[in-house]
Amino acid sequence: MRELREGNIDALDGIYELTSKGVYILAYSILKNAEKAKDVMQDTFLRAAANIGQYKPGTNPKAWISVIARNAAYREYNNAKRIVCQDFSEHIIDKNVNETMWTDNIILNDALQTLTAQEREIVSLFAAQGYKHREIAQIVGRPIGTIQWLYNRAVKKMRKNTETKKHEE
Amino acid sequence: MKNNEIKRLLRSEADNVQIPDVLTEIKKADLTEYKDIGTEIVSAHTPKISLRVKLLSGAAAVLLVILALIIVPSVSFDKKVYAEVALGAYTEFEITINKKEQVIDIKTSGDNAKKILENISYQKQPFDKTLTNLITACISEGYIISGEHITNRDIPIAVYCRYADGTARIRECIDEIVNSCCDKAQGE
Repeated sequence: MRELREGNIDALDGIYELTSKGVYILAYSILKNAEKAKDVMQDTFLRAAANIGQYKPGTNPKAWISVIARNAAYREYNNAKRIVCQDFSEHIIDKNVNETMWTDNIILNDALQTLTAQEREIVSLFAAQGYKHREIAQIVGRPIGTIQWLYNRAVKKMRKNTETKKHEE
Repeated sequence: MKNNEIKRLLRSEADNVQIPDVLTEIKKADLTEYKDIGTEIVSAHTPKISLRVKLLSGAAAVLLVILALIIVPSVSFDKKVYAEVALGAYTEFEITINKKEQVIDIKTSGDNAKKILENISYQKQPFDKTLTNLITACISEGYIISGEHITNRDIPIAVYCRYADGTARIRECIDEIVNSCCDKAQGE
């Protein structure tokens, strides 16, 4: 981070290697779209590089980048909600057809689909990226208790979904 | 699937995710367009409570305490037994009253007494009114025969007041009620 601050753009390689996966999963979890997640990832690193002066030395750089990624993903998420697509064809197109998940595991994919954007975000930060609840509270800007409650609720939903699927089979 | 299994599965899937490479594009881009970040990490989440909210919650707490001080004693006084009156007119009633001379409860012995009590509402009702209703019901059911040869002294009534000054006054009140009920029944 210090080298990047001094203007060495090549220092971004190390930061990218360390954080890109987490940023991609976080963006994908919120947006449920691979292309949009890729755009958000690009946007995140560009903003991080352009605003490196705002980074406070001594704080968690991974969390700082996660906050930028989260803001970029929610900006995209809210923009997507505002855009109304008009389809003049006679065929009915399923609006969820472009929605996918970052995992290929069918069980996990189905379970993640049952969650809200906020729940998916917390699950991805905690379970997939290994952040602690305290760190997630800092990234999301909410109390630790709320984060724990949201995570438990999300896991409960996922467990219920997997059990129902198992029962149906 | 248990919570830990879900967590383990998510972690292993996250490790295997293939991410697109955007690093070369980032390095080529003009960074001046991306200066509107406005994001910083705070050390911990501390909800800020305004002075207005603090004052309002303080006032609400004081109000609650005052309400509790008013309501709780009045409720407990209403339930505190001041005197017990036992009425034996071939069937028995034990009436407990509070200091406001309102009926707290009536206990009965025997089915006949229960039957009479079914038609009388007595909870928190004035004692004199309840006793009038009870004696009137007893007369109409034939448990008390009102006639020249029967006076209030023929109805065994015991009064026990927990305060010395109350017994005589209640006894007097009961005598008046019984006399008036018997007179009324006799007149009819």
